[in-house]
Amino acid sequence: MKPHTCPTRVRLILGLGAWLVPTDRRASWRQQWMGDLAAQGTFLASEGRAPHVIRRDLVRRSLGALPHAGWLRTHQWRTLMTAQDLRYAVRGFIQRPGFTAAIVLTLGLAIGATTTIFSWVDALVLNPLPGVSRSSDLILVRFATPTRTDLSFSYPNYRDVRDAAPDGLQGIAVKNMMATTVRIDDGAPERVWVEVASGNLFDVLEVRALHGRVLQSDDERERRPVAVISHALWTTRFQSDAGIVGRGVSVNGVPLTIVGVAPEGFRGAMGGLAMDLWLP
Amino acid sequence: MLDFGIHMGRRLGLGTISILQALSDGRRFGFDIMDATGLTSGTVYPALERLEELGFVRSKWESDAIAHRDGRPARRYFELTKSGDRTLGEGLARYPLLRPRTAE
Repeated sequence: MKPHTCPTRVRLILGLGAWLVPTDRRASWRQQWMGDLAAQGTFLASEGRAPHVIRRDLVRRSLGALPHAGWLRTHQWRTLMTAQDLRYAVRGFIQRPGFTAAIVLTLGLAIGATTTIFSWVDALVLNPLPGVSRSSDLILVRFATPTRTDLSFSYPNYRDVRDAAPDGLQGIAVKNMMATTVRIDDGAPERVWVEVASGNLFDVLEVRALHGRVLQSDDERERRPVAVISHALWTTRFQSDAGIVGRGVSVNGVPLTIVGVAPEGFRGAMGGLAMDLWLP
Repeated sequence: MLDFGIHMGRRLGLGTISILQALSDGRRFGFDIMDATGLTSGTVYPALERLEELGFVRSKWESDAIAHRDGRPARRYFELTKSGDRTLGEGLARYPLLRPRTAE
């Protein structure tokens, strides 16, 4: 395009676009646009169009130079940046090993801390009772006085509350946890977490057994020496034995019969902790 | 690169196929394609770059003699490659709104 036929706004647009275009493409980009715009101007003039119409058309068409320039720039980034950045990063790692180690350590600690905090929040707040489908419908009942809220209560207390349950509550279960010693077959004793619960605990939580059965009210009433084991204990200590029901386990020296395996994911009624055994 | 208008898992869109069609009809320059397709220059020029990268289009510069005769810079023009022609055929089958190709 001859300089005197190039509208000022077109020159501005091309100047701005040229700033965006990668250096190695800039000359050809400018020539492409100047050639096309000049040819368009000549064509419109040959058709007898008024100068202001020609200017307006050229300005409108030249606006495409900006996205064109932007495409060339971003395309160059896409193809070059990854390789360049990798080379630059590796050189930096080699030249400053101490700094690199500090960064890696910082990142590792930060990621570890974040993961730990989220795990806590998830276990205690977001999903305190995994494996329980309607945990939001559960309420926790505690014995309290005007000055204390952490009072323990007896089994007769529980029965009184259970039998006098207000309308709207489908069931009231009780549980307590303790760390105890178990022996499996003739293996070495090991410490596990046990939830001692009323026979209706699994019914109240609406949790079904993966194998065998869960605890029942009759287990509690008849003081049956039975136990339900967790999925984790079943897979790690019993090698996922399909014939687990009926096998024995010793808890604090008392022989119990395993009657069922809890489903995978269920960890008991104590938020944030994973139980290994449930006893009536 | 694959035939059937698919590259890296993505199909070419209607606008891109219409650009290939304009090239097939003999349009060679960006503004001519723009007028033939109704697309803006901001769409046509980047699309031509992409099509050239995909191998559906090749670009050349017109001779200096022509440019000198007309008193302007040489223009960059575009042509359809064989791969682009196959892609256009597939694209026209997928987009019935575009004018079907005439029998050769």
